Order: sequence, then C-alpha cells, then structure tokens
Amino acid sequence: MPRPEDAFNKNFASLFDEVSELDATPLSDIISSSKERYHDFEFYTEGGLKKIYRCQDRKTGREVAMASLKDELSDARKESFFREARLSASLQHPNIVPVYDIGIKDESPWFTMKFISGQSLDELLQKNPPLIEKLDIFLKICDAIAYAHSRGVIHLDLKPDNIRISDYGDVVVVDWGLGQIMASDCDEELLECYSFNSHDLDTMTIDGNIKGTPGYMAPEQTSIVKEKKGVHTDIFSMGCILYTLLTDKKPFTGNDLEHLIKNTAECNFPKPSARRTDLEIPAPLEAVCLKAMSSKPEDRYQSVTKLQKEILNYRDGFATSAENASLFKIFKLWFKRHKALAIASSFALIVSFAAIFAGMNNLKLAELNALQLAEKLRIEKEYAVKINKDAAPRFLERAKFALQTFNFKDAMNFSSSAVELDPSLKEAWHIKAEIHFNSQEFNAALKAFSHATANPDLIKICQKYSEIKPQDSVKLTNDNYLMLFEECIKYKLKPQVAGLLHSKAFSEIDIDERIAFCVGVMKIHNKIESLHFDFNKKTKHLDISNNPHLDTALAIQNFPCKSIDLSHTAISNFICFRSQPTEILKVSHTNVLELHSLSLDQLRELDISHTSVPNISRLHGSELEVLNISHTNVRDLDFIKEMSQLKKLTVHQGQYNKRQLNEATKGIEVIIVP
Amino acid sequence: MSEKYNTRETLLQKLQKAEDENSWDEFVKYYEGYIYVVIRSFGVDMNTSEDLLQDVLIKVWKALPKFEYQNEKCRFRTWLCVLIRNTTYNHFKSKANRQSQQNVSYDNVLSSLDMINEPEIDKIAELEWKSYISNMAWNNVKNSFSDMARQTFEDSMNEMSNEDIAEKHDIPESSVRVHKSRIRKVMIKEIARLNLELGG
Repeated sequence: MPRPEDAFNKNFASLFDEVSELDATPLSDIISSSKERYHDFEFYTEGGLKKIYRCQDRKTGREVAMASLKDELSDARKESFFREARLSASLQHPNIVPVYDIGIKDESPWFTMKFISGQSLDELLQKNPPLIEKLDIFLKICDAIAYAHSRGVIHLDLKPDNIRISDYGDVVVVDWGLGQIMASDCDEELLECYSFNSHDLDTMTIDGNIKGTPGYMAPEQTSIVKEKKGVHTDIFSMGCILYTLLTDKKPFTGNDLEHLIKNTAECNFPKPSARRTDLEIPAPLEAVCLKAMSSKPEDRYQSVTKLQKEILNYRDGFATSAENASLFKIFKLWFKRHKALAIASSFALIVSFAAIFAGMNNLKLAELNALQLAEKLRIEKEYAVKINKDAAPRFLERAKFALQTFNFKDAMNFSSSAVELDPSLKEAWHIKAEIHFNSQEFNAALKAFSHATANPDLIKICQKYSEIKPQDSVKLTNDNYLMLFEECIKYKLKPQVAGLLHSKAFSEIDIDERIAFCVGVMKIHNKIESLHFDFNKKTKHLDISNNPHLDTALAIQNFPCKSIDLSHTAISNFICFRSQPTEILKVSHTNVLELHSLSLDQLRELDISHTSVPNISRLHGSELEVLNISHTNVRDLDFIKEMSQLKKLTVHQGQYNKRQLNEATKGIEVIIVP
Repeated sequence: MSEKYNTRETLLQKLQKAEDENSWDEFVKYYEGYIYVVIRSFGVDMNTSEDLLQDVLIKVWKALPKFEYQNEKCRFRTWLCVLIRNTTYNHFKSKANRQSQQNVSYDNVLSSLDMINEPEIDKIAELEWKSYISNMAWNNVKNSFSDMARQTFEDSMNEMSNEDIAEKHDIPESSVRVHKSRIRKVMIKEIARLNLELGG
C-alpha cells in the first residue's frame, strides 16, 4: 500500500520559495507597518472646491474616497474644509456618506469617506427608472435629511448631483460642503463646527461662487430674497428634487444665470403637469411638490418627516393632505389599496351602503353635506371620463376592423362606445355614421356625420333620403333602395355600395323582396337591361345561367337556394355564393380561375367544366359526390383519393390516360365527354 | 481552522515541554509523512520504508527531550534527517551482514547512504520539507477551488505552459492566469502557516 505521500508532487516545493516571513501574519504586518496609509490614488471627480480621489487604505484594505482642497490654501478655507468633514462625520446614518478619517498632509487638509461606486441621481434619471423606484430613492433622501435636521445640520445644497446611488441600492447624500449648523438645535460637540463668519451668511462662497446650485436653490438662497436659511430651505430643495423626479427637468430655468436667479427668487416655475404635458404626473405628488416649493417658508412642509409621510401616503395608496382629499377620493384610494377585498365584498358593500351612510351621520361626519356629495359625483365622473378616454382608441380600432370585415353590428357597438368615451374621435363618428347609412338610418347618419369630416356627396345623398324616408326605423322601398344604390355607384361611393348591398343581403327580408332586390341590384351593378333570373320556390333551384355580361352577383349572397346554376356567365369567383345552403353548384363556361373562394360545407355537386381552373386541390377533403372537370386544365388524379365521397366524375376525352384513369377511379362512375 | 493552530507556539515547542499528551499524536500525524518521504528519497522501497518509519518514530520519541531546540544553530528537520539517515543506514548494514550469504545485495542503498554527508542531508531535509509542506498545503486548500481551477493549477505545477493549459481545458488563457494567481496566493498563505505551525 503506497502512502499518500508517495503521490506528492515535488514541483510544489517551488511555491515554498516564494513564501516570505511576512506571509504568515500579513495583516499584523501591514497594520503595524509605518508605510503611508493611503496609496494608489486615482483621480475621480472634482467639484467647486474639492478634488476627490479614489485610493486604497492600507490599514483597512478597502477602497476609499479622499477629498482634498483644489488649490491655494488660505487658513479660512482650510477651516471650512475641516468644518465640512467634521459636520459629515457627525452624521452617522445609512443614507449619509460616512467620513472615515480626517488629516493634514504637507499642509494640505484631506478627509476620507466611503467610496460609493455607482451613479448620481442625475445619471440614474437619464435611464428613466419607474416612478416607484424614484420615490423609494426620494424616501431615503428624506430619511437622511430628516436625520441631519434632527442633529441640527442643514445641507443647503441638495440636488440630484449630490445624491449617489450605488449599484446595490445604497442611496447616500454627499457633499455637505455648504452645510450649516443650527446653533440652537445641534449637539454641543457640534458647536465647534459652528461659525458665525460673515461669509457664511453671504450667498457667495468665500471664492465668490454662488452658494447652492441654481435650479435647485430656494428663493432665500438668492441674494434677492432676504430670509433666514433653515430647515425650510432644505425642504424647498427636496421639493425641487421631487419636481425633477416627476418631470426629469430642473424646476427653474432661465436664459442666463441672472434670469435663472430671478426666477428662483420669485419662485417662478411651471407646475410639473404643465411642464410635461406628455407625462401623466400623479396629482397628489404634484400637490406635494408644489407645497414643498411654496415661496413662503411658512407655507412649506414644516419638517422633512411631514413631507416624507405624504410621499409614503401616496405610495401606500392613501390620500395626501396637500391635495385636500375629499371623502370620495379617500374611499377610492382605499379601494385601490384593497382591490381584492373590495371586489369580494362589493356586494355586501352595496347592501350596506345605506346603513353606512346612516352610520356616518351618527358618527357626526357632518361634512358629508350635499355640496360635497355633488363635488364627489363630479370628481367621480371626471375620473371615469379620464380613465375611459384612454380606452376609446382601442374601441375605435375594433370598430375599424369590424367594418372592414362587414361585421356591421360589432362596428356599430364599438364605434358607439368609442364616441361615447371620447367624443373627439372623428374617425369613430365616421364609422358610426357609415353603419347608420348602410342600415338606411339617414337621420342618425347625418347626426354622426356632423361630428366627422365626410364626403359632401354622401351628405347630400343622406339628406335627400332622409327627406324621402324621414323615419329611421322603417326601410326604403325596393325602388327607392335601388335608386339610392344607383346614386352611390354614380358618385363612386364604393364603401356605401358594398355596405348597402351587404346590409340588405344579410337582413331578414322575404323571398319576393329578395328576388326583386337581387334582380334590381344585379342589373344596376352589371349595367345590363335584362337578366335571366329564375327561382323555383319548390325545388329551391336558382337559375341565373346564360347571362354572358353578368360578372358581379354579390346580391345573391345569403340567398336561400339549394342548387344554383350560374353557367354561361362572366363571374370569376365564388364570393357571391357565401352564406347559401347550396348543395349543387354549376359554374361551367364562366371566368372562374380558381376555387379558393369556394365554400364547401354543404356542397355535394360541382360543375366547373369549360373553365380555366388548373387544379382542384381546394376540393381535397370535401364531401363532393358529383364532380365535372371536363374541359378544365386539371390533369392530375391526386384528388380522387382525397375525396372519399366521390361517386361520379365527368372528364373529357383525352384529359387522362385511360389506363391510369381506370386504375385511379375504381368504384367511381366515370363519364367521358367528347 | 482547527484549534491547534490558534497559538503561534510551534508543535515542537509544545512537544518538548511534554505537557500535552496529545502533542505526540499530533507530531506523528504531521511528521510521519515527512519522515516517510525522506526515507523514500534514500531509495528505499515502500514496505521497508514503513518499517523504518516506525523505527525512526521510536528513536525520535526517545531522543526528543535531549534535542536542544535552537533554531539558528540546528534545525529540527536537519537533526531529524540525520537520525533518519542513520537509522536507515544501520538497518541496511545489519541486514546486509545477516543476508550476505543469501546473496541479496543492499549495496545500492548502502552506497548511496554512504555518499550522504551532513551538508548533503541538510539539502535533502530542506528539499523534502518544502515539497512536503507544499503538498500538504495543497491538500488542505484544494477543495476550496473549482475542479477547473484545481486542474489548471496542477497542470501549471507540472510545468505546462499557460497556452497548453488553456487549450487542454478549452478556456481562455486569461482564465488560466486568474486561476493560477488566485491559487498561488492562497497556497503561499497556507504554506507560510504550515511552516510556522509545524516548522523547526
């Protein structure tokens, strides 16, 4: 038995030589080493005053961000730099960037803080995150600022650029460089960072830069408005951030800085919904935003917590106080929050509604007066209209499709719904008018046309026939119908020609009227004087054969005939036979070229002799019993095995090789005509 | 990491104090493999090596309290290797005497042992120690890595080029480098630890 050591690989010994004394206790060695703590500096970004580097911390072994001053180092500047560092360091909150260390190197002050890889809120917004995600971020900013305020620190430079979001969802507020301490509220230890230097009261930083960021500043941060800065200043900026979250735009704009500052001072900005009419900005959030951005500090939220509560209310589906919600609104939001429960209990709710009202009165909910009720109903209606307006185009689409497929009933329903939801939809009105016209409801058609743009000829015809037949509920006489039909053809109103024809053919009319309709329409349509048209009511045989100029016979759709003879006519397809219970169909000596439009459901006998039909694969699987394909271009015999019911087949002499024909048609009577 | 590595006191120091009953077992556990590879390195076959290993362990057990541990002056493993060499030499010498009539020759082993002087032994001791500790380290850490990383590293230890390894496992050469460098770092840490804990 070899020992495991026998399998040892001596080559591994080479690794041993790489081991240094330090490797056994590397951490103790590094931490106790006297080397420079921070190394591997890499420039990251710079702001107005500071430069930020990424660097490695030898002691903790992590990457940190080091801030240092940009250029010349006056003592006042150094002091204010340290003030920022101490101020940030005093704030220990998950949503505030933690400061790790403060120091001076070669006379130059620095502090290190957590390095947050990721992006600023500004950058994130360019990726159009969903509103709910943006609100979550906003709530975290609220957390941070509420905490800072509780510690007596105000930020005074809140803007999307100063919010950093790590790849893993950390949201931290950075750059407390303009931060101030509220001497009356802060911890005593923090007072050492407090300074009452006159430059802190200026709107300019000591370098002459404007304090704060134009576009996100509060009016009192401009030199124009003289007002103490405080919690309300941060709240205004929070409002600006919310504004940006809602609109993707800065609240204040201006052609130049002066203009921008003026707009800020006057608190002159468009409402979010006015700024972005293309977006649907939730009204409650707009209300919150506007309240936070009130020009007078006393009109704003009095604390960040209150502002945050409003956003939470909105997010959780409660009414926000800024929108002065009515009871109805509150109820609606409740419904939204508890949809499942609400639906399940809606029946019980209806039953107990009266009781609730009585109960409400008993509970002294006196505000529920008639005025409010009316207001509620108004809001409800507005809401319904708003919601449903969005649905109108969908109804229109369906109406269009129904019209195209001659499904007039659906087209009417959908177009009616569409115009009900959104009366500005001209196209829907037009469809509705067309259907009325097709159903000979000329008054209704005229009314609908008045909302749409229509062909003046069509309006004229419509007016004419509304005079001939003032009542929409009755139909035109056959003669008047034919007159109308002829006029439509004359004015080339193709959709109306088709619509009138289809509408009448598929309406319930008795057989005599139908015959008169068919004969009349076919004459007009084909421009022929006389028509051979014979219908045997007993045998239900329709004979329209020997009409050499008849190429359109659409009027006979839905004709209740069992057999039909259209031979020696000029028809070219089978559309005219739709919705007929036809069992026997003769179309010999016609212009028929193909069988695709043929409906096979009830067909038992088919005669397509003397046509140019080249193949009859369409008949595969049919239940035809009798088939005449003589003098067609059909040359193959494949169809025979695909037509199980075939009993009788007529072909012409020489169409097939006799032997092959005999073989293929066993059990089928074959007639060979000359 | 098990408890026995909590202290920086080496195994040998513990053993010499002889306070701890378990320390001998521990010594055997960690050193018998080393003793074995050294015996084998003298060209002794497996079975005889096993027997000699037991002999050596008994001798160490007896001699250890007398061994004056002075790291700078004489390494424990050099002392141990001298002991192993002598034990092996004596074994074959007496065997050779006894078996000389039967024409069995141990001349090969004996002559090679004869060649080995003290500096030579020191070399062997070092080389085998390095190999032994490194292999032990590998046994300890290899399960922390994926099969692919493990094979890559083993191949690299067998002096295959990165290019060949990449081709063999059908992975990019950059992955080979990453695997190698990661395992190398861990190995060096583990070797350093074992050397410190067991060394002397």
